[in-house]
Amino acid sequence: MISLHNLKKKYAGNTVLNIEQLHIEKGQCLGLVGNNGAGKTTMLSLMLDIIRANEGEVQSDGKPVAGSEHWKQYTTAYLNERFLIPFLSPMEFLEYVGKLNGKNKSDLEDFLQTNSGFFQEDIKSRKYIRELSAGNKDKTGILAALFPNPQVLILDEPFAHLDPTSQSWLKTRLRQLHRQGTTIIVSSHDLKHVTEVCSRIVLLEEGVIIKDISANEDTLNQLEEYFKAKGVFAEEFESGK
Amino acid sequence: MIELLIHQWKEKTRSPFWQKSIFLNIILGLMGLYFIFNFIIISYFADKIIESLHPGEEVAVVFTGLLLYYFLFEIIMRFFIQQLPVVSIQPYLLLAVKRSQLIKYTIIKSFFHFINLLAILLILPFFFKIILPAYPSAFAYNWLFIAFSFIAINNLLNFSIKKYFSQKPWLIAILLILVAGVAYGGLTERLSITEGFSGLWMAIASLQLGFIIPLMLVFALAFFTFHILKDSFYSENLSKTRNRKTLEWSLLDSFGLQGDLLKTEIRLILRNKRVRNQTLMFCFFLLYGFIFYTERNLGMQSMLILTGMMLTIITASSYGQYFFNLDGQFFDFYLTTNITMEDYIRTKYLMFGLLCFVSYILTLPYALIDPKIAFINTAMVLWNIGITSWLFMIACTFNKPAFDLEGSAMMNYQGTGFAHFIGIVPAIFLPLVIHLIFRWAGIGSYSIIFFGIMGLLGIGFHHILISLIKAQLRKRKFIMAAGFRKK
Repeated sequence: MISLHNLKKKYAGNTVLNIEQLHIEKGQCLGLVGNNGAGKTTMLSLMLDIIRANEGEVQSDGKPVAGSEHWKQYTTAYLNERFLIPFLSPMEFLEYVGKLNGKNKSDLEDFLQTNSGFFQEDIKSRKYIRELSAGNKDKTGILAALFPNPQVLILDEPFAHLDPTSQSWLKTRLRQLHRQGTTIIVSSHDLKHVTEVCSRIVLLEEGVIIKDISANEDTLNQLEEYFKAKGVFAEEFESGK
Repeated sequence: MIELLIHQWKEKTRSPFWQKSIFLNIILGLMGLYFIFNFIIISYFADKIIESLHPGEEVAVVFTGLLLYYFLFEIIMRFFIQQLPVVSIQPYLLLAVKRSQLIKYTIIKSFFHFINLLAILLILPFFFKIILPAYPSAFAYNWLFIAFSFIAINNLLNFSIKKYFSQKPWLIAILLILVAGVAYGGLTERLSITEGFSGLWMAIASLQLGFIIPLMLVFALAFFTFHILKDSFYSENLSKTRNRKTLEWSLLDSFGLQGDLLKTEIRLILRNKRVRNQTLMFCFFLLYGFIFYTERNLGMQSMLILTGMMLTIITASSYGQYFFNLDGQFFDFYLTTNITMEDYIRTKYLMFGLLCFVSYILTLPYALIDPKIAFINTAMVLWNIGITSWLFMIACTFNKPAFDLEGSAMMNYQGTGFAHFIGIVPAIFLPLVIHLIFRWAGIGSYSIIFFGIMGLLGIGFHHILISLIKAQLRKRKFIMAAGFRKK
């Protein structure tokens, strides 16, 4: 579904991402892990064509992402606050995103009904998005990414600001989407969340893929060992820091 | 305390706005110097001016009286242009810095403002030239002390005015009427408050320890300000939220997707303080017609063209100057969501056109002064919708700072880039240049027909122009998006 070829991104002469080949099959759920500055967000941004690659290209459905708009019809993403319109209320924003994807108001009502486990009253209040807490902003962004029923879903650190209930809800939801055949790419510091959700784990370090493994019972231990060896305590990752 | 001031200095000089737009800073610097120069000149030659206006009266007394007008005017100016450094201390509230220390800092910081410098420059040259040589030094220094106290009082008053008045706009209206009343009374010499004012000032200055009275006033006010700030310094009070009603847009809803896109643009204008207030403020400028459409100007075609150009674009100008910058905070959303670039650009274009059209309708009554105004303005609104819009849009693709939607509307240059000076300003004067070329060729009047026809062509072929802008946006989007992401 998505493939990266000889992809390189440099900032001020430093190579921050250097990927020779990466193919993400249709229906795969890919978990992207790595320390700060490993290039996770850079990689996702390149997949969404919001930053320019110095070399190489990203293809979606066999066609290059850069300079085209075909992928927008089946891809949704939430990376950070910049994917939200701050002066709309969450409901207005969801309605707007829905309209852009050919969904009407009653579709939205159905959607909120089925996903009511994920949000509280704040999402339905008339507060503008700019006035919401970080957690509720992320919830709005994630809901907006789920609403259009995308074939490709890209999320950057979706668990970071969520409360425990929403975290486990989102994990269940992502697993369900995975079963339905959605291609999912999700990055996280939290090894536990990613290994619970994803069938394939890619470990980035300084912009290079160090490990590319399919997840099983042992993956979490394996990854924890790796990061421990790097002098980082796994406990810190688990608390989501 | 000094540490805090250093942080503030770093915040200013390290912001990309400061580092990047050197050109804008130079322009602002020149403007500042211009004001400084003017104030010094006025102050230094105040005696000459007063002698010619009020011959035979004591210069110092008249000057002191006139300062009343200045101080009243300053209160109003301060309300609009002096930002209080309240929000910038928000990150410090949680640190181990004493709250009272922070409040003192906020108050002291407010004194370092350009407007205070101007006031001092208005007083000092006059003081050294007239007051100091002519009066006993005790009186002279008392006089100066009272003047500085007034500046301090105005500076402190601004805190209370901002706090109480911004919640109740009608209080501002009352204040404005009061000031206008005093000015009117003084000018028509029906009510001479200025004489009483300078009399009182002089009386206090002649007391041996006269400076104690204004000093006490300043301290009392500082104490009062300290207390209102203390009350409002819990961070939840700094950013306010309230529930609001949503308007129903049944008309726009019937236009399908295009209606929804426009709805969001209208909300962008209505729900963000800076764009909203600027747009409203510019609507006020529509009244400029009364100044420009004079007997003399009505005979000058070039003047009418420039006025028509300005009046039919004015409501759209704050939107059009920042087309894509307005979306700067969420540009990534538009780059990745399921919207074609054509739809995105067309919506911006439609919104701009609508705003121009509103301007046009509102200024149409000027045709009662002279019917040819209607003719010229029609040509100019077509030109603006058909041609100026695209010029503005291209200029905006070169503008990289994201527009701070929540900033103040007055004297706020944030988000202004080099593009403004090479793109937008020339675009405004382009019709005048074209007209002059036509006139030079001896067919000046035909330029108006030319504007109308070009405008119609621009509107008619908008889909071609949209694809031009699209190609331009494609080329520039990474640079723009990277610029927008910087704070």
